[in-house]
This record gives sequence, C-alpha cells and structure tokens, in this order.
Amino acid sequence: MISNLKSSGEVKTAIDEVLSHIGYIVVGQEEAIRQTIISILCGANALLEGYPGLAKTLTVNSLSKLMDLNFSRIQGTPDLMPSDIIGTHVLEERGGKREFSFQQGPLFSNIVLMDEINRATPKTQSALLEAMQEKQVTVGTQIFKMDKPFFVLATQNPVEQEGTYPLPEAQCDRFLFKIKSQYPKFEEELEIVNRFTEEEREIDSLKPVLGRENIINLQKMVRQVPVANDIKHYAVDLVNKTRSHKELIEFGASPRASLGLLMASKAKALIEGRNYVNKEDINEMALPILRHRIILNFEAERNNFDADAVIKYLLK
Amino acid sequence: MVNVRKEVSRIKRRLVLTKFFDCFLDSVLISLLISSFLVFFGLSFLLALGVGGGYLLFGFIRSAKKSSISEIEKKVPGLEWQLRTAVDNFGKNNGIINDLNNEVATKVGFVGFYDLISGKRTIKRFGGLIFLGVLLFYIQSSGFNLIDTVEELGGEGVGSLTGFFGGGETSIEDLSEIQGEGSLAELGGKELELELGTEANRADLGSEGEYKQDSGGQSYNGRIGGSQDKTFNENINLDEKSIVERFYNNLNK
Repeated sequence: MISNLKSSGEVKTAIDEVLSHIGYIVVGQEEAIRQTIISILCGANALLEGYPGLAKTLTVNSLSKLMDLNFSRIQGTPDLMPSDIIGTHVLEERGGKREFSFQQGPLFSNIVLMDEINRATPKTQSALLEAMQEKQVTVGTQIFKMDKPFFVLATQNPVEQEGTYPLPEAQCDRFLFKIKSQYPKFEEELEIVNRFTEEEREIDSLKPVLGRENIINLQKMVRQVPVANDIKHYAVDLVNKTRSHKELIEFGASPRASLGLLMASKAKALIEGRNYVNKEDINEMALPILRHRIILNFEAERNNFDADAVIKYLLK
Repeated sequence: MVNVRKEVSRIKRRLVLTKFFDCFLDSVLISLLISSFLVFFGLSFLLALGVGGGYLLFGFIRSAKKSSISEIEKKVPGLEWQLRTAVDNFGKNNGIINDLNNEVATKVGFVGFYDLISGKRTIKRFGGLIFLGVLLFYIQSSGFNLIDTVEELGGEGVGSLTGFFGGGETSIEDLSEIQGEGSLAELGGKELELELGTEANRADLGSEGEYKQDSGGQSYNGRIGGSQDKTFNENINLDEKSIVERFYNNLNK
C-alpha cells in the first residue's frame, strides 16, 4: 500500500496504479472512473447515469477495495423507507436493562452506492440530503457523524422513467458530478467477452493501493492546489453565463457549481501530477459539473439541444 | 524555500529588455524605410531619424506597459499557467505551492533573452534591415534620384511638379516651351537654323559660319558666331564688329 503522499507527482503515480488495478476488473469506462475518483478526492458525491450492465456497481466496489474503504449498496425501490438506509432504534437488553440503541443503516459507510435513486420515494431521497451535504445524520435528537471519507454514488437509468421520482433540483445540486456512463467500444466489449468468459476475476483479489488516511490526506492536498486568478474568473464567468443565456437556459447553475468546478479542476490537476490548474481542466470539468444544474428552456429543447450541447456552446 | 518573487521580477526585467530590443529594431527599420524614401527624392534623411526615435520612445513605453506574465507564458510554453499561478499565490505556503514555486523558479532560471524574442520575427526584421540598408547605400552611392530618372525617360512637366526639389542646374534639353522654337532665317541661298543654347544665347551657324560677304565687296573668312553670357561680353574683334553687326541685321530682317 502506498503511504505518505506528498507531491503531485506521487499522487499521479498512486492514482495511475489505482487505475491500472481497476482495469484488471473493469474494461473501459476510464472517464467515468476518473471522474468518480475526482469526486471522492473532492469529498463530494456523484450521480452516475447509465444503462444497466455498464459496470457501475463493479466500478464503485472495486474502488472501495483499492482504497481500503467500507462499501455498501442500497437498491432504490418505491417502498424503501428512510429508516432502511439511515438506521433505526432497536430495543436491546444489556445487564438486565432494556434500552433503545441506534442500529446504523447501510448509509454509515465510506462509499455508498445508491442504485436507481430515482426509484426511491422523495422522502427517502431527502433522507440522503443531510448525509450528503453535512456528512451527518440526525435521528430524533441525536446527531451521528459519518465516517470520513464519505461518498455517495447514486445511479439512475436514463430510460424507464415510469414509476420513478425524478430528483428535485435541490438534491441534484448536491451532487458534484453527473457522470455519464457510456456503452463500451467494440474492442472493449470484445475484451469483456474474452476476459469474463474464460476466467473468473474476483473483486476480492484486489489489494488496497491507497489507505483511508491517504484518501483524507489527498482531500486536503486537493484544497492546497493553487489556482491563478484568471482561472477563477474564467470558472465563475462560465457559471454566470448559465444564468445570463436566457435564450437557451431557463435556470442556471448555483454558486455551488463555481465551487465544484474549481475543486474538481484542482483534483483533476493533482491526479494528473500538476500543481496548478489550467483552462483545459475547467473546460473538461464543466460538462459533468453543469449538466445536471441547468434547466433548458423550451426553445433549446425544441431545437433538440441537450445540456451538454448548451455547455459546449457556452465554452466557445 | 525559493524566492519565486525575485525570479519573476528578473524575468519581467528581461521581458522589458526584449521589448526595448524589438522596438529598437522596429525603429531602425522605420528610419531606414523613410530614409530610402527621402533620399530617393533627394531630401535629407534627418527627418527619418526623428520619426524612428519617436517610435522607439513611444513604442517602447506602450509595449512595456502592456507586458504581462501571460506574455512570458506564451513565449515559454513550459511555463503556461504555472507562472501566473505562482505569482497570484505569492505568500501562501504549503507543500504543493512550494513545489510549484520550485518548479517555476527552475524553469524561469533557464529562460534567457533568446527565449523571449520571437525568432522568426527577428529574422524577418534583420532581413528587412539588410535589404533597406543595401537599398539606401545603393541610392546614396549612385546619386540616383527619382527626378533625374524621370527626366531621362523624357517625362514632361516634372520640373514644374518637383520644382521644389530642383536645386541645381537643369539638364532639360527641350527648352522650346521656355525659349521658343528655333528660328530659320534665310541668308542668301542658304538656310540657317539658329539655335539658342541653355547657358547663353548663342547663334551657332555651323559650317555656314564660313560666310563670305559679297554684297559689300568685302570678304570675311573667320568664324562668325556670337555668344552672350550674363556679362554680355561678346567675343568679336572690334575690327570685325561692323561685319558681324551687318550679319545680325540681315538676320533680323
């Protein structure tokens, strides 16, 4: 296991090692994996949108193994209750006395995969909000702090919208990224077929590369990455554009998007071995940061523009 | 810890020096260009030196004001965004920033005067300098000027257009517009054409100068001719004056 990361060069080496190990289990999806790692390093949450069977669970599970973090998976269903994920008080008998004790739910983990979050009811979705933003859970009068690092990766299916509860804007805004998981290329799919029909590759065979302490240290390092004033202006200007281009966007992104854009760019620079942020970092991070934070107007939709097309237009 | 501020100040000074060099080359180019033009018209090139000097002064001040860190980054691609980031984060202290400062200081240390000047542009400027220098030398040494060339080519009206430039003697051959057409005078059975020279009025009788006076019974075998300069001295012997006077009288009839 790598220990005591100090420089951006060392961080790059460590992350490259994580990526090469994850490549043993997951074929392709490099972009989604990198964005997930960036999200973890920013101490933020990510929303992963993709069709079933695109190795979403496998990716997150593998990452948790490689980072030596606890992992739990929650399947979103319409009958899922908040107490099912947060936990509940149970009556216990200790030393002849009966008392209520709190039984932690699956949310108390380092990495939580909330599968098909949009199938859960708004009440359950909302139960996630405090944990995602404040890194704590309030049950009755008690506040339970989440373990660090804490990361929620929620997935949703872009099709089959029947019987789902679309995420409210407030909750969408709490996800740093909306990562789009793409179908593998032909060669990649061929590799998947060859790899998994001939041999069995177990996630348990993965050995931790980065420890919990390293992840917390990396999160601190991300904040230390310096940013030039021009880059800050560029990022804030881009987010402001989402509010001023009323001809395409009905509701623009919040200041949380500016924060996220700079933090994600810092993390990207760090895992690429740089100790400064450049304009390309902002441009690259703009898509996953902004795509779920803007609401297009009728005119844009009438012209078949999606959020990515509008963001690319703003970047020009 | 590296003092990146000192290194940045040093590279900024070097950039300003580069700007001065660029402006100096430009001003020399401009001076040479204007000089060539002026010499072409036979004028003094002191005016060109004035224009070049003015350009050097104002151009340098303007470009020095415009010089920025991003300009250095553009000229030295290895420093792109790094230098700016280091400058904007002066005074902050953590592991990542210290690494950045060290990296910037090392890279800036290798940036010399030649990294900051644009190679292609400088070569073009030097090319221009050599060309204009040779052109100016040629014009100066050959005494070439536009007015003479146009006159030699038979240009009309140039004198009146460029009269301002015509300081010396004119070599205009066709003075008919100024002095009138040559007169033909019949003298006996011969035809004589009297031509007026440019420097002095002179009647050149050519071979007919061998004139024999037969009407008065006297004969004259000397060369008949007269010239008049600004002193109006005539080089005719006083003894023969009467013969010459008669000749002119005949001409004037």
